[in-house]
Amino acid sequence: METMERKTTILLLDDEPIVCKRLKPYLEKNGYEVETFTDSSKAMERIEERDFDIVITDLKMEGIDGMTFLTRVKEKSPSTQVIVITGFATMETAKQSFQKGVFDFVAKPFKLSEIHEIVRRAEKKLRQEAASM
Amino acid sequence: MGFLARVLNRILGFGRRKPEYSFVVLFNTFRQILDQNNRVLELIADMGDKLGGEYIFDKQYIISRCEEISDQVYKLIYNLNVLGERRYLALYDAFERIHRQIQEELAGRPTVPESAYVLSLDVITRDFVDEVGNKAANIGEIRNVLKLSTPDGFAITTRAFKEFLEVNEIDKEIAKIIISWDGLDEEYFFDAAQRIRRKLMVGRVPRRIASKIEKMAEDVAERNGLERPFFAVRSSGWLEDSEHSFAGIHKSILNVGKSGLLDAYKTVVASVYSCDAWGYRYNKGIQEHEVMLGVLCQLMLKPLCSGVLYTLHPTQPEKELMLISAHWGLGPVVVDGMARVDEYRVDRNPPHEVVSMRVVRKEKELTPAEEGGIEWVRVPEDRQYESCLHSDQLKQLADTGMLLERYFKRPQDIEWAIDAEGNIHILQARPLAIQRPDVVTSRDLSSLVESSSVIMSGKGTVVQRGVAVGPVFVIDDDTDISRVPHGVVLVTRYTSPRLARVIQKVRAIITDYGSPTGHMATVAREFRVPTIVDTGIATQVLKHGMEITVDATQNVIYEGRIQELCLFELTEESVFEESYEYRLLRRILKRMSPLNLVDPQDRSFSPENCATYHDITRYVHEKAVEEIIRISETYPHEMGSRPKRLDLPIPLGLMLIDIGDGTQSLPEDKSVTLEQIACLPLKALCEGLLIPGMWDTQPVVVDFRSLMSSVTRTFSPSNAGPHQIGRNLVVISKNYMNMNLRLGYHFNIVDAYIVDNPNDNYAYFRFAGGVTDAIRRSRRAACIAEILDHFDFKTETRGDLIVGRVKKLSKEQMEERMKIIGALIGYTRQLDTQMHSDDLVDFFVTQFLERLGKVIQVTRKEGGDNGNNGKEDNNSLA
Repeated sequence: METMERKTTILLLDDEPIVCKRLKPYLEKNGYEVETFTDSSKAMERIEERDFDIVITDLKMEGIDGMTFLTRVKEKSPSTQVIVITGFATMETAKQSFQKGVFDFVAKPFKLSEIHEIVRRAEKKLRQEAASM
Repeated sequence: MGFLARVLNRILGFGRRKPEYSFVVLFNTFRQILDQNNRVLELIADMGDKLGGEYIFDKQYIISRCEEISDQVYKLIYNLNVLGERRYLALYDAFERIHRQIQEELAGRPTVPESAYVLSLDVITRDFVDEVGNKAANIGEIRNVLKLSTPDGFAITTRAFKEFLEVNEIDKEIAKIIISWDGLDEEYFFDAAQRIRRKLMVGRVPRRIASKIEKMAEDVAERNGLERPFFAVRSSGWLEDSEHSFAGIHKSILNVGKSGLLDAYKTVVASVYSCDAWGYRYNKGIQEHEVMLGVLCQLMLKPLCSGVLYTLHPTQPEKELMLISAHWGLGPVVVDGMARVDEYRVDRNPPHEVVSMRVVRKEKELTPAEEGGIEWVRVPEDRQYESCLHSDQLKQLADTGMLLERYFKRPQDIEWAIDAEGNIHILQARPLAIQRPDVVTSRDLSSLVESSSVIMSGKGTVVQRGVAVGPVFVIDDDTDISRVPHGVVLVTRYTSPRLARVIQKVRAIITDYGSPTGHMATVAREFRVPTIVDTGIATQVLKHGMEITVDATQNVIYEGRIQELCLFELTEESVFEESYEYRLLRRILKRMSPLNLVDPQDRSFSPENCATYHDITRYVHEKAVEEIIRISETYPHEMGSRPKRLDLPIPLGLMLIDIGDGTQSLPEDKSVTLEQIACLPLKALCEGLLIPGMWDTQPVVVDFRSLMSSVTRTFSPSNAGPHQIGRNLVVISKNYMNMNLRLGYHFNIVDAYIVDNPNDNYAYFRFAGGVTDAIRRSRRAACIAEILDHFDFKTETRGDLIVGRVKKLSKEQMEERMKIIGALIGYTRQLDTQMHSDDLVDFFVTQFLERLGKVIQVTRKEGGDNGNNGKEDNNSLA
C-alpha cells in the first residue's frame, strides 16, 4: 500500500527556535518528514501550498496566532491532525479550543517521548480515518 | 497598665509580653514555611531536571519558573519574619541581590561578578568561571583541586574586561555594529571588526586595573624567586574551552615581560574581535553579551619538551587509544603544526602500554628569547633523532590524562610541558570533540549490554542520568569524607548534604535511601554526576572495591566494566548543551541551586552569606524550627486555647493546649485521656512513657541485686514523688507537639512534627538537669546519647545537657522515635542517681534496649535526605 510507504509529514510551528531546533532532528530520527517554521505567516503560506498529515503548533505567537493558524489548517485540510504545544499558563485556553478539532495538547516543557507518543496516536487515527473512507 | 508600669515591667522582666500574633497564626506560618521550603526545592529541582536533556523547554518556561520561585522565596522570608518578629530583615537584601542577578540574566545582561580585577591562580577553581573565564577556571581547578602541577600565575577578570571596554566606549560601538549588520554584508563586517580591533589596541587600560596587574605580576615573581618574570598571556573566555573549543581562534602570546603585559592584554582582547572569532560565535549561536573575557597570565616555563595529549583517539575512539605528540622546546611547534613532531599511541587502560611510536628528526626547537618573545634555535645533533618521551613519561602522562578525563567527564585535549627535571606541568585542558564511532550504534550496544551480568535494575530513582564505570567505594556516617578518592562510584546508605563536598570527585553515587529533591540530589545535578537514590539495597549488593558499570540513564547496574557504554556517552552529540536556552538555564540555576550554607554552627551561616535561593531556603528552614521552639518557650501563657489536663496512669502533671485537632475531647472538658489524643507525636510519646519498666524504675532493685548491690542501697525514690513535678505544658496540633516537661530536677524539651511527607518530619529532644554530681549526670547523658545514637538520632552532649535530633524519616518511623523519646524520659529521669561507675552506662543501655525490644520492633533509618550529620544539627544546643 502506497500510503504505508510514504513518510508521515509534519509541519512544526513555534516562534521559539529552540523548540524547532530540538524537535526536528528527534522526529526525523524517528522516521518522519518534518518542516519547521518560527514565523507563523510563513507557515500560513506553506499550508496553502501543501497539506500535512500532522501539524504541531504553539498557540501564543507574534503576528498570526496559533488559533487562527490551526483554524485555517482544519478548514483547508480537515483530515490533518493538529497537536497544540503550549506553555502551562495558557493550557486552559488551549483546552477551550477543543471544538476546533484539535487532536491533543501538550504543555511545555514536555518530554521528547511524550510528543512522540502523541504523534504515534495521531498517525493511528489518520490510518483509521483513511481506512474508513 | 500605665506607661511607667509598662516600662518597669519591661525592665524588671515582670509581666508578660504578648506575641504579636496568636500561636495558631504563628504555628500555621511555620507550617507554611515548611510547605514553601519544599515547593521551592521542588521547583528548582524541576528546572534542574530540564538540563538532563529529556525535555523540550523554551525561554518562556525559564521566565515563568523564575517568577514562581522568586515569589515563593519572598514569601518564605516574609513568613520567617512573622515568626521571628522581624529579626531576619537582612534576608530581603539577600533576596534582592539574587533576584536582580536573575532578572539581568533573563534580560540578556549577565551580571559580571563584582570581583577583583585580578585573581591569583592559587584561589581560582571552577567556581570562578564567571570571574576569570573557562580556561583559567579549568587550570585553577587542576592546580588547586586535582593538585597537579601547573605554572604559577594569575587571571585578569571579566570585570576588568568589561570596564576596559566601557572606559574606551568600545561596548557601545560593538552594540551598534550588531544592530546594523544584516548578517550578510561581509565587507561591512570586515571593516567593523577591524575598527573595533584598532580601537582596542589604542585603548587605555584604566590605571586602577593596570596597577593591580603590575602588583600581581610582582607578587607572582616574588613568590617564585624570579627577578625578571616572563608570562604566557592567554585568552580565557566564558565559553572558551567548554563545548566550544575556540581552539586556535583567540590569541596566546608567549614570553611577555612585565612591562609588556598591558599590550599583550590588549592584543589578546583584540583577537576576540577578529573576523574568525566573530564568525565562529555567529555560527555557533553565541550571543555577543556572552562574550566575557578573562585573560590568563602564567609564568613562562623553559621546557625540555612540550606537546599535546588527546585522551581518546578522536576519529577512532573505539580503539581505546590515547594520542600524544611532542617536540623539543616550546609547545607552539606541536599546537600550531609548525614542524613534524614525535607521535605516540598509548593504551587508555592501565598500565598504559605504548602501542606505537613515530620519532622524527627535529632540527630546530622554539625557546623563550632572553628579552621576551620566542625564537628558533638549532637542536644539538645528538638529540635530533632522539625520542622526546620515554615510556615512563608516557605512562605518567597517560595517568594524568585519565585523571583529567574522569574529572571533567569528557575526553580531554591537554597541553603539557616537561621541564629539565622531568616534571610534568599542565598548561591547559579542554574537552575534545569526538566523532561517534560506527560500532557504537544503539543496536550493538543493546546486544552487548544484554550479555552483561546485571547487579540491580530499576531500583530507586534516577536523579541524574549518565553512565559511569569504576570501583565501588562504600562510606558510612563515620567515614572521613575527605578520604574519598577520585574516580570511584560512591555507595552509601542515605543521601546527605555533606556528600556535596566530594560530588565533583566521584564518577557516580548510589544510595539505599534518600529523596530526589534533597540537597545532595541538587548538587549531583549541578555537576552532572550520574546518581541513583533510594535503591533500598545498594550497600548490600555493592561491595567495596567491586568494579561496576552504572547506567543511570536506563537505571541498571552491571558487574564489571562496560567501556562501550561509556564511549557511547562520551561521544554523544551535545547539541542541546550548546543551545542558548541551556546556557541561560544553567546560569540561572547557579543563582538558585548551589548550597553554600551547610553548617548552622559556622559563623558564615548568615543572611549576608546567602548567595543563592537555596541558601535562603536552607537558612529560613533552620531558623523557623528555632523560632517555633523559642516562641513556645517565650510565650507559654499566650497560647489562646484553654489548657486541659492530660490524665495518665503516671503523674506527669501535664497541661495540654490544643491549637488544632490535637484532641478529640469536648471543648468544655477539663481533662483528656490518652485515647482522646489525636496528636500523632504526643500519642506515640505517651505510649513510650507507659511501656512497662520505663517510668516505673523501681524493679531496678530486683534487676540489680546480683550485679551491683550497692546501687540499690543508695537509690532513693523520694524525689520521684508527684509533689516534685511541676505544672508541665504541651502545645499540640494533629501533627505537631512542643513539650516543656520538668520532672523533679530534670528538664525535657520535645519538639516534633510528623506528617505523611518524610521531608517535613523532625523531632528535637533536649534533656538536662538532675540533683547528683556532675560526673554522674554526664554518665547519664552518655547513656542517653548511646541509646539515641542507636536509633539514628544525631546527638550532641555538653556536660549533662544532651540534644538529640532526627529528621525526615517516614511517619511510622517517626512515631517509633517518639515512643523511644517517651520511654527514655521515663527510664532516665532518675538514672543519674544510680550512675556510680562508667561501666554502668553500657549496662543501662542494654537494659533499656531489652525492655524496649519486648514491646516494639524499631525499624532503622530509611528514606529522606536527612540533614542528620552532626555538623549540621547542633546549633541550638546552648
